[in-house]
Amino acid sequence: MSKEFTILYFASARDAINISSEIISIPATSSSLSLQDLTNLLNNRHENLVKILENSMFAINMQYVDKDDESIMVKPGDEVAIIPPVSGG
Amino acid sequence: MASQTDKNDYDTLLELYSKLKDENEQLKNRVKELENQLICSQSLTNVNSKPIHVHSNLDVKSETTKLRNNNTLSLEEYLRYGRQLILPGFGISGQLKLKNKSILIVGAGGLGAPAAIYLAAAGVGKLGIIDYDSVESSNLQRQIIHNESRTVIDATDNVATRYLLNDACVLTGKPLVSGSALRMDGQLTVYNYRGGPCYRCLFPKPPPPESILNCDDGGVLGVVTGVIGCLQALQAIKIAADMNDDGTSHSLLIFSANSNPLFRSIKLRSKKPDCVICSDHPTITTLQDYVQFCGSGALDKSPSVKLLGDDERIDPKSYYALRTKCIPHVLVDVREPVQFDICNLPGSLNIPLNELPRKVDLIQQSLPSTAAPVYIICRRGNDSQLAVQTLKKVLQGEIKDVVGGLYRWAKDVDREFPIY
Repeated sequence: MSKEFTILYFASARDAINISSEIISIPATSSSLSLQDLTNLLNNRHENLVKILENSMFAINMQYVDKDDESIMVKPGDEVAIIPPVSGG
Repeated sequence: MASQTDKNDYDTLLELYSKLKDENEQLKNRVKELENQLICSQSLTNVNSKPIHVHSNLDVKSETTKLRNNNTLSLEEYLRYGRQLILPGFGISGQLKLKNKSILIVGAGGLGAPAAIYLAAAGVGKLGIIDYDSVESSNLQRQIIHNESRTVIDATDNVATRYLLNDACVLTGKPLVSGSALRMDGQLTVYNYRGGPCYRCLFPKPPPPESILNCDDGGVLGVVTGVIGCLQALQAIKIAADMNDDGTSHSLLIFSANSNPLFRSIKLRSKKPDCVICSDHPTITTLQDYVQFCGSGALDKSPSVKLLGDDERIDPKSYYALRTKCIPHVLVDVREPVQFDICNLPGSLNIPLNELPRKVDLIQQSLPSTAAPVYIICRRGNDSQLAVQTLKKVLQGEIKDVVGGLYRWAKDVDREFPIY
């Protein structure tokens, strides 16, 4: 079975890396990723995201998740959204 | 016979008089309404100069008591609001609720202006519009805390004011209809409403100032702010008229004009149990210094910075003199290509600021001689200073930035050069 999940980047996250979505494989050694693992993984992939991720909201399958909740795991097939605040108007 | 005719004439005249009196009354009301609308639109065009306070539909001070006890519609209102009156779930009770409610719009720009138009057209009893461009935020705090509006619309353009409005609404128990837009993206959320989260629940830490892009530097498509502003009006109407949507689900609506689907809705949870302001045990109980908290002012324009000494800079007129004397040099324009394409100085080399460290060799290749000076220009003279700092680490020789950028160039040297 494929161990992939999808990431959607919005607003400044998308602008920083010029990617609106990508499919990422969960490392072979594990079956799921904690949100901290996810953050580390994304920071390694995209240097420009580091600062943006710190202040972004995460959602899994269109549902808000608390970044501090260590029990939340990203599983194969999930769709993760990175949502930085937009403050202009 | 004669007296009978007189009586008939008298009755006819009386009837006519009564009709004319009614008509006169209606016309007077109409004139009053149109005058109010005119005041509203005139003030809307002046948002840049002074703080404005616009109250449409009803004059606040004299009509406040009337506003509170108004349980009827005028004949004209039946006609004007007919199409929304016949909406199931809205109806006459919804209209009367709107008529008796007040809504405060903070920010009269791309979001606030369309929101104001639709709220006024829907018949909201009292509409307040505040727009501050360069007025201290302490004033704004007082305004919001003492405002009697039941719903607040956040149509502002900067992070500091967003945290301020959030806290003011939590502290006074008012729902906050928050909208934002930048480039091709928008967000819409109702905070502090029916047990839902507040802005701080979702975004506890303000982003670092250097990472914030405002509409002035990042751009925005007018229709994107229009879409979000209209949606803010919609949510405010639903709240004011107590229309029952699925009140149990709180959501953040994301609008991305360039993606498919255009809209995505993120389901939010209820308020954060340890939120610093809206939880049961808040650590913030009064308004704060938001400029300090966010590290940035209540502005949507980047303030001018001075990072370099005067000997590391050249003013536009001196640079112009140097160009006319054909002194060999390289001019590097560090704006993004999309801005470089709008207008640029002949002969300038476009290397965006974030690509500069990787492309130093391009500058070296362009140097007419190793001793030739390098000048850096940008839109307003902020990024050019950062660029000089970056280049000085890797390049020898004279490296200066053009003070005030192309903006000052247009003012001091070439009046025909576009300012955008």
